[in-house]
Amino acid sequence: MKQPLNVAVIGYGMGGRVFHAPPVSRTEGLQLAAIVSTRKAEIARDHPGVTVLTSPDAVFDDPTIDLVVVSTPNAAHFDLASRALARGKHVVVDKPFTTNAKDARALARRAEAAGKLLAVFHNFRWYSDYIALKHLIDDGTLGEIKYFESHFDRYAPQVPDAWRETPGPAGGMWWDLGPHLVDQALQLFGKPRAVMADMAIQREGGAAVDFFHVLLRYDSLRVVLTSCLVAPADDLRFVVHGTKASFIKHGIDCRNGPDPHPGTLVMGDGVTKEAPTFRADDRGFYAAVRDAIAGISSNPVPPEQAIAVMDLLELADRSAEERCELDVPA
Amino acid sequence: MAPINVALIGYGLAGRVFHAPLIAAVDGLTLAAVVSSREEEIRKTYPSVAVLRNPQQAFADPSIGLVVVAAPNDSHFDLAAAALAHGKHVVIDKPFALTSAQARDLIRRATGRVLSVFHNRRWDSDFLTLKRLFCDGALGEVVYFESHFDRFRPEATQRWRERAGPATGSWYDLGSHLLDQAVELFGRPRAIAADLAARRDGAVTTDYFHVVLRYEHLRVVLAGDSLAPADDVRFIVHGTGASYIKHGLDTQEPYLNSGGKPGDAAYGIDPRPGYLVLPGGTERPVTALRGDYGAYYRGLRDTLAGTAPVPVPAREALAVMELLEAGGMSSAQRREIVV
Repeated sequence: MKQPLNVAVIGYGMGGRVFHAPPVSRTEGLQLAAIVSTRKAEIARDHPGVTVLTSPDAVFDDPTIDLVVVSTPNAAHFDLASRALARGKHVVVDKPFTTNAKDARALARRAEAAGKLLAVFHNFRWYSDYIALKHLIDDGTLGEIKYFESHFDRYAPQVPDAWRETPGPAGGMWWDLGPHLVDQALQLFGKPRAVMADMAIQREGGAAVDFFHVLLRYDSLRVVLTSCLVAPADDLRFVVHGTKASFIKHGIDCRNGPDPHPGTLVMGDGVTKEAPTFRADDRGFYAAVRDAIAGISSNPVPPEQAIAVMDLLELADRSAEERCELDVPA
Repeated sequence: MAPINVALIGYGLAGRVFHAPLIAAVDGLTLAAVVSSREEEIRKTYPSVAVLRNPQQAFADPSIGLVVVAAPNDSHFDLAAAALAHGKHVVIDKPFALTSAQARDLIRRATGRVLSVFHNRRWDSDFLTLKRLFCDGALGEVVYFESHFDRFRPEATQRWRERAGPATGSWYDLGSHLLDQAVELFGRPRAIAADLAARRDGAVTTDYFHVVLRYEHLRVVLAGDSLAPADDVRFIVHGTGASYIKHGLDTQEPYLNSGGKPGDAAYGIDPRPGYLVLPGGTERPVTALRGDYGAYYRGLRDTLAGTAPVPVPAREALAVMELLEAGGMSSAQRREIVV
C-alpha cells in the first residue's frame, strides 16, 4: 500500500473548517497533516493530532507535505499558491482561483513549469443537485435545454463584518458565490456568446456586491445566474426548461449524503413527478485530486477550466459597470 | 343618469372574452353594438346587440358614447383617433398603440374626452392581493420582484399576435401586462435591460423575454417564456420581512372564455392563493382577494359620470408604451437603456 499523501490546509475560516479539512481527513489515501491557522483550540477539538502551524512558511519548508490547500481570503490565493508550487507542492486553491484572470494564468504557467498538480475547488460539481441535473440532461429526460436558472439565495439582511463582504478585487457575492454558478454553467453548456450582468448592493450599510443577476446568452439557450441575500424564501436552486420537461429544484447545500429535497420534473403535458436523487460525497473532489497526483486519472478541475470561470467573472463585472452586454471572446 | 351606449370594435379573444361580457355586466353601461364579421356568434350570446360591419357606423351613431377598440394592435391608432374625432370616449385594449408617438398623439387628440387603456391585470386576484400585502407592510422593504407569464407552446402559430412587425410578439402582448403592474407598484424604473428573442422553430416575432428593471436598490425581473413545461410560476417577491410566492395565472380569463359570467359566485376566485415565506422558512398562507376585471368598467362608468378618476389614465399606459419601446431598443442594442 502506498503511503498516504500528506496534506496541509492553509486557513481555518469557513472554507477550511467546513469544506476542506473534513473531507481531506476522511479521504482514503490522504492524511490531514497540518493546518495553518491561529484557531488552535478549535482545530485541536475538530482534528486532534493534526499539527497546527501559525505560518505557511512552516508548511512550505516541510518536505513531508505533498499537497497544500489554499483556503484563505481570496487576495492571498495567488501568493500562497505560487510559493507552494515553487517549493514543489501540489496545490488546491479554493474558488475563486485568484483575484484576476491574469494571476490565474500566471499560476497555471507556474504549475506547468513545476510539473505539479494545480486544481481549483469547484466542489459544487460533486453536489447531489448538480449530479441529478446532469443525469437528467445526459439521459435526455429534459430534451434540449432552452433555459437554465441557477440560484444562490440567502436571507442575511444584516451586513456582517467579513472579508467576503468587503469591496475590492474579488470581493462581494459575485466573486464568492458566482464562481460556483459560473463553473456549473460552463461545465453544462460551454462558453456563452455574450454576458449581460446586473450587480447591486441592496442591503443597508453594504459595501460590496450582494445581489447579482447575470444573463449568459447562447444560440437559443439562456442561462440566468442569480443571488439575492434578502430572500426569505431562499431555497430555490435550479429552474430548468427543456423541450421535453422542466426540472425544478429546491434546497441548497446538498454536498454529502442523500438529497433530502428531491427535485420536481414537469413534463410537456403538465404531468408532474419526483426527479431521481443521487447521493453526494464531499470526498469526490479530493479523491479525484489524489488519483490525479497518482497519475491514474486527470485533474478534476484543471487550471484552464478555472481560468474560463475567472474570465467570465471579470467580463460580467465589466458588463455591470458599462451597463451593456459584452461578447465572450472565442 | 341614462346608461352609456358602448360600441365594441373587434370580437376576437379580447372582445369576446373580456370586453363584451364585462361591459354587459356593468349597470350603467349598455353593450349597444359590436363591429365584427362574426355576426352569428355575437347574436347567439347578445341577441339585442347591433352587429355592425364597419366601425364608421359606430362612430357616426350619435347614441354611442363610448367606443372600445379591441382590434389587432396595428389598427388601435386609426380606430381610436377616428372615434375621438367623432367625439366618443375611447377605451383601447393593451398595448395602447404601435408606438409611444402614436400614444402621445392620441392623448393630444383626446382633449375633453376620456381615453383609457384596458390594463385589466391590475384587477387580477394575485395582483390585488400583492398590493394589499404591500400596503400592510407584510413584505417589509421589497428588494426583488419577479413576475412571469410563461407557457409551454413549442409550436409557433400564424395568429396576428405572432406575426412579425411593430408591437407584435409576447413582449408587447404579455409584457405590457407585467410592465403595467410593475409601474403601478414601483413607479418608473431608472433603467431597463431586455433580452427579447424568437426561439421557436419558425417563430418570426418575440416569443421569449427576460427584462430587468433597475431601481435604486430594488430589481424587477419580467419574464415570458413560451418554452417552459413548468409554466406556473407567477410571482417571486423578496422583501426584508417576507417573500411572497405565487403560482398559477389568474382564472378570470379562462373562466370567461368558457362561458362563465362576471357575476357568478366562482368568478375571480383564485384556486391557488400564494403564500408568504417568513425569515427562517416558515410558510404562511395568504388570503387571496377576489379578482375583479369588472372594476375597470365600473370605474370607467363612474369616470364618465364625473364621480371617479379614470381607472387607467392614458398617461399611465403611455409610460408602459415607452418602456416597451425602451425594452426593444435595449435588446436590439444589447445594452441597458436609461429611462
